[in-house]
Amino acid sequence: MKIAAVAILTAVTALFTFVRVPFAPTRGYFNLSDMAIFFSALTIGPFTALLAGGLGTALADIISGYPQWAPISFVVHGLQGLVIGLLARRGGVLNLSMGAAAGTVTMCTGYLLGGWLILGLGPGPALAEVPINLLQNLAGIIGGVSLHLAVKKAYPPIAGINW
Amino acid sequence: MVNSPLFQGLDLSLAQGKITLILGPPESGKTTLSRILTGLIPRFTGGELSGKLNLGRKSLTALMPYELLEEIGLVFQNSEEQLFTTRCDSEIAFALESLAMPREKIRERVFSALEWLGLSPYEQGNPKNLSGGEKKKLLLACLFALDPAIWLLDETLDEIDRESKFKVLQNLRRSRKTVLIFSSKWLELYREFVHRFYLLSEGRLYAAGEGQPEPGFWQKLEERGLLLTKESAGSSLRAPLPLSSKRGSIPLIQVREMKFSYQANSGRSRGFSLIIPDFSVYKGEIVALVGPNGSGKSTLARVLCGLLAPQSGEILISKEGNQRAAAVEELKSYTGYLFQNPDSQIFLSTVHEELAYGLKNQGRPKPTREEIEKRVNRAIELFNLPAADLPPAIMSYSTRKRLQAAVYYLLERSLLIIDEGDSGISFRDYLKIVELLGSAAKGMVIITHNQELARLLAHRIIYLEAGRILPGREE
Amino acid sequence: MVLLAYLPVFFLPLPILMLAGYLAAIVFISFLCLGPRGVIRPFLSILPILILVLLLTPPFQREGEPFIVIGGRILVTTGGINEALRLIIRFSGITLLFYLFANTTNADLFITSCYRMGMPFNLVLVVTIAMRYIPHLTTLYREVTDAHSLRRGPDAAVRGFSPFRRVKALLPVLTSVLIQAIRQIPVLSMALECRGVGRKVKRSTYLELKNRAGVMADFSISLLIIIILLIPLIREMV
Repeated sequence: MKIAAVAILTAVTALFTFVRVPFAPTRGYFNLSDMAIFFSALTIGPFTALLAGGLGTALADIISGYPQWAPISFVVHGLQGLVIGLLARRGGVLNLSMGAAAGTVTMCTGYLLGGWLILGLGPGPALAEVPINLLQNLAGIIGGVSLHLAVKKAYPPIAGINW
Repeated sequence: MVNSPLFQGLDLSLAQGKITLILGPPESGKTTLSRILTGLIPRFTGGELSGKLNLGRKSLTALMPYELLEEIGLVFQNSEEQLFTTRCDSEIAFALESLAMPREKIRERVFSALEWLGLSPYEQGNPKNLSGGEKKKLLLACLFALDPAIWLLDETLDEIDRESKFKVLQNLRRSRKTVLIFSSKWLELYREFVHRFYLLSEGRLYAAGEGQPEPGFWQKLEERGLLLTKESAGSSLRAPLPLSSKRGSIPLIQVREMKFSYQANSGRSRGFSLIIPDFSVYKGEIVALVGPNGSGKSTLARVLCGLLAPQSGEILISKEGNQRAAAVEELKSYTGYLFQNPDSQIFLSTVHEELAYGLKNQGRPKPTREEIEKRVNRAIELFNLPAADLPPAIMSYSTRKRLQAAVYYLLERSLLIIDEGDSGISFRDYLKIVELLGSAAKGMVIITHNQELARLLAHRIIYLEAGRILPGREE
Repeated sequence: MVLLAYLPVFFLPLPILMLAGYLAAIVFISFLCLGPRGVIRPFLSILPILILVLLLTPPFQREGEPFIVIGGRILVTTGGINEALRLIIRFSGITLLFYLFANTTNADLFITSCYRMGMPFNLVLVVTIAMRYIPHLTTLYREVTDAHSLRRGPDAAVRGFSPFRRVKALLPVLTSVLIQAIRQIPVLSMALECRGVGRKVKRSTYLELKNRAGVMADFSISLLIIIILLIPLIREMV
């Protein structure tokens, strides 16, 4: 079951990464990947979000022609998923906010460092991306929680899968 | 909601080396039964199973599905659910890899499996590019390579071409496989190959003949809606829409000199274009669109409801007695299109919300709370929908289809198009939907593969092939 | 088409070279393997970033001599330009390499080789299945978008300027897609077990990396090229 859940959520995350809301010039798009990651973390669990988030975004990067970002996306979004899952799963608004905050910080810092040092973009462009990433995460949190609630209500059996 | 037992006192034994057939209407539990036999249910879906399940001397309930690989093989009803790799040969090889078979042997088997039903050209291709029937053949090839002693085929043969159907059955008989076929339609071929007949309905399995179907078989089939005849259709059909007496009047919708072709990079088949010099639907009539896969039926439907914009030509609608050209956006609220997949439009958490959603978002003077309540409840009653506060997503397929129809019933579109609505639900259900929707709309178009159905329901039948209309017929 | 299964060779971490010659070499190889598209496409995709680098690096890098001075203020120094160019070259190089890698490697074979090199099978399976489902979900997404657009009333055109509004409008569609995707999970699990997933025995692999000789040849050639290209770097360090 785990395999299937992770695989499908990976595909879902990739899909969400493809969905672009017109905005940012640097990475090309302001995407909904974070929304999918929040959703996976809340609905299924931290390890699923780790794999689905990492693999999903990495695959999406490769497929859409930005393969250079794939390894970074994998690590950053993977960690993001893990962190959110571990913190927010325990329920309650406090945990949720902590998870959300931690996830956001992970993702933004991750990309900041990744862009700056690993890809060698230098501080300028990497910093320029931060506000965009923040916005993306904000949308992700709100969207992810909404989707989680909506799907839970509309398809109760989902509560049975946990990882 | 789903607490009543699906099966009661079910006794079934499969004679070794023989072909058995279980016929049952959609949703009678055939798929569930097939999965129980392979140990997949209740393992993955919950539910309770009591009784004995034996394979030879072994008890099946103690074994894991993946241990039964070499003994029982199952072909799912929905091929989309069972294919999961990106190459045809990998798909076939997968199960063999699970058995840790040496590579050379796998290769042999894969090749002969592909060859068996003519799939060799697709060896390295992606299964998603195969047609529905070819996907089924691929799944059969997977079993062929595995070569289990027992084959369970869930609605497998229907989509396959005649020649291959024959080949499969013949092969199975010759190799003395124990086969269980589940089907909701009777095929003449069964007479020749099937040894034992069963009927499944209302949770009970009825033995219906050995060697040949027993007398009274056909009547039973008809009763359960497995056979479509004029009588069975006639009884539950009360002329849905009267043919408008003013035939010469303005058509409800008319397409003139329309040309449409897909853009080169949209992923659809290039070179396909839909050219319609003249097509109209008049008030009060049902038009059937019939044609092979890829002939353009869905494309035409999409143009009619504004999802696709033609490159040239015009679409005229009739408003307030006058005919005028319609803007693409306008068409979306003029025409309703019921997708073949009802889940594409269902996303809310209760039946009630789902139905009220359309009413609340209609734009024009918003109806009052009471108005909405009344209409929603009426729809629930008419379409025989279960309690209003349950999530649609866990309901059965035919309930979701009825819900989809109910949604459109309330939306008050002038023209309604139903795309392949008859697949997966019983004839009775389908006819009821057509009847109810017919009373809500001014005209209807039904798209179907089933020519019999088209002849029974439609006032006119339009045949489409490769994007062109063949000379039509009146009923 | 030679199946370059061992492309990690091209995976060079930090090509910090002053010489654009290095980049030129990569461009050349890309051109050979993928044609003009293989060079133009990736460049176009990163053009916005490159421009940003050009604009935003000088403020941070102020060494060297003044280059552009406006009204007494030193805006850009040679050090700044230097650094900017370096970064541009570096990023372009990395991008091209990855692009080359991604477009010359057959996904299925790559995954198989990962498995042979020790990647846990479950992971391999997850990636394979995800690859199969991504196009499927994309098509589903389009269909659901269409279906939902039909359900709205006449004046429901969503022209929200704020991205949040846009996202909100997408939620019903995303919910439908999610539900349908999640529904697949148990059925997919069934399909997998039907094909033997879950057995304890180690699996064999059907797909194999063909053309060993060809691969070795590629490997050696690429190694050679790298050595040649690294000479300036080594020289610089010495």
